[in-house]
Amino acid sequence: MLLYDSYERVGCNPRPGVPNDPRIRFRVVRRRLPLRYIGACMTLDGRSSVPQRTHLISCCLACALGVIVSTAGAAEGPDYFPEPVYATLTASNAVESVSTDRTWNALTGAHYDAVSADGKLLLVSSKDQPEAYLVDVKSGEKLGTFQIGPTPQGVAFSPDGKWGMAVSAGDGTVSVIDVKARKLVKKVAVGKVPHNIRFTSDSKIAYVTLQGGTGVAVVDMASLGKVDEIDVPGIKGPHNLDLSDDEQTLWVRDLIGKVAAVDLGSRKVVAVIPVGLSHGGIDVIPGGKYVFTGAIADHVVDVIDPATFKVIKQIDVGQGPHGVRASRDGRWVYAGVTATDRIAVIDTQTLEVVRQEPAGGMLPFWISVAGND
Amino acid sequence: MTEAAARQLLCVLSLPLAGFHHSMRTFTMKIQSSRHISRRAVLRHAVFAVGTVAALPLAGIVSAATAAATEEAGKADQKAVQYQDHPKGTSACANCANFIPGAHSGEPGACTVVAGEISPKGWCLAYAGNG
Repeated sequence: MLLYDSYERVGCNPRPGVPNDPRIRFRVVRRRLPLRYIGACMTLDGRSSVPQRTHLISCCLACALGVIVSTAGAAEGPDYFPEPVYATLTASNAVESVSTDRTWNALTGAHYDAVSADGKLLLVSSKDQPEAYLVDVKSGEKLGTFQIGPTPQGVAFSPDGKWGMAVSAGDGTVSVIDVKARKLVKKVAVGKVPHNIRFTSDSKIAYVTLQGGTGVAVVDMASLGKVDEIDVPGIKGPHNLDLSDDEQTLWVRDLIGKVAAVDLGSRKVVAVIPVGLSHGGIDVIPGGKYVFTGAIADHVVDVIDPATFKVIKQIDVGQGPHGVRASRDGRWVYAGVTATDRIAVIDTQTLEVVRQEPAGGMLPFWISVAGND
Repeated sequence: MTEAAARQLLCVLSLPLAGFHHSMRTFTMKIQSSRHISRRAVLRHAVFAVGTVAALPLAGIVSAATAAATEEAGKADQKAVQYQDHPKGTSACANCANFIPGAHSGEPGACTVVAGEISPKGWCLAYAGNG
């Protein structure tokens, strides 16, 4: 309730033209200000119709209390980074540990990255050099540089920790790296313009998208050779990929703005789903509840319900989201937003952006997460 | 956007603001000059003020429609994807999977995801190395 003081004349009426008539007296009447006059209260009656000082003080105290409560809440907020999250900063030639703000430089054109299952090593491809780098995550020391061929793209570690793998789109090969020996042991020809890799959980098979073709190559890790190719019609330029938790469905993101779900048992495309514009990463979050995908020429991350194959939400994260990866427990999803140089953190319970973490450099392109890579 | 279009947009934007300002000014003058304010006067001015403010989003729609008309349907704006007409390091549109070459080598072409004329030497965020 807003109060104001009104001055009412008491006693006899004044004579016209005599402003200081001693017989005119005033008394102060406190009134409640009707809502319809709020906003004009300073001019009502042309006199002292201002809100009471006590109200102003109360408002200030309430605001101060709100600030204290919100600050305390922020200090005790959830842990958005329960395990290390690594983002390539392509235009800064670096990889950043987003959760600790540590940055490892001298990784020329850091493009794609992957973290080993034990969380101790990173494999990083270069956008500008025909190279991939093996990096110690503790020290940032470059343990090895591998000549993988022109136009390097995706990289991956096998879950058993034995192999690293790096794509050369220009050569149409994947380089197989013996992690323990830190040696490139073989280049496997997989097809036209390969792009990224996904191992099965038993490390026996690696799927490789063929952006210049229409499908996905299957590499047998025992023989280190391509043994099959799965056609994925309905999309243009298979780009990034992930597997469902039961490894029966292959999710493939294309170059233009579509996602295909492939049933690996029947080798049939069971759904083609329109998503944001151009290419991006894709991640089936641990637990399998949702599939997230970025869209670098757009400003949204699409959330797909794998039960219905429908986009259930487009989450605005800022212009240019590309890499997307969930935390190990599937609670948070991280999106590298290339035009704003931020890492958007999405709460998978509310499907809202809960944090926009500034990246430690420019063009955060790809995200890797220990325990979900 | 042309100068004429900009002037037109400015005009559309300023109309509701002017209406709102005029209504509030008249209302303030009235309550300053008279101790008695009729309910009808208050309502009349309130309706006019609210109406003019409510018209503001229309100006936004006009602006958005003008911008959209300049873009090719379903494609990204060049500015949004930070398009530049020169390469970024070793990356250039001529080597991008999304580039549609011009009639002759070296001539501007188009793009499957970005609107407008695209230089083969250009680059943008949506660059996808084609090997």
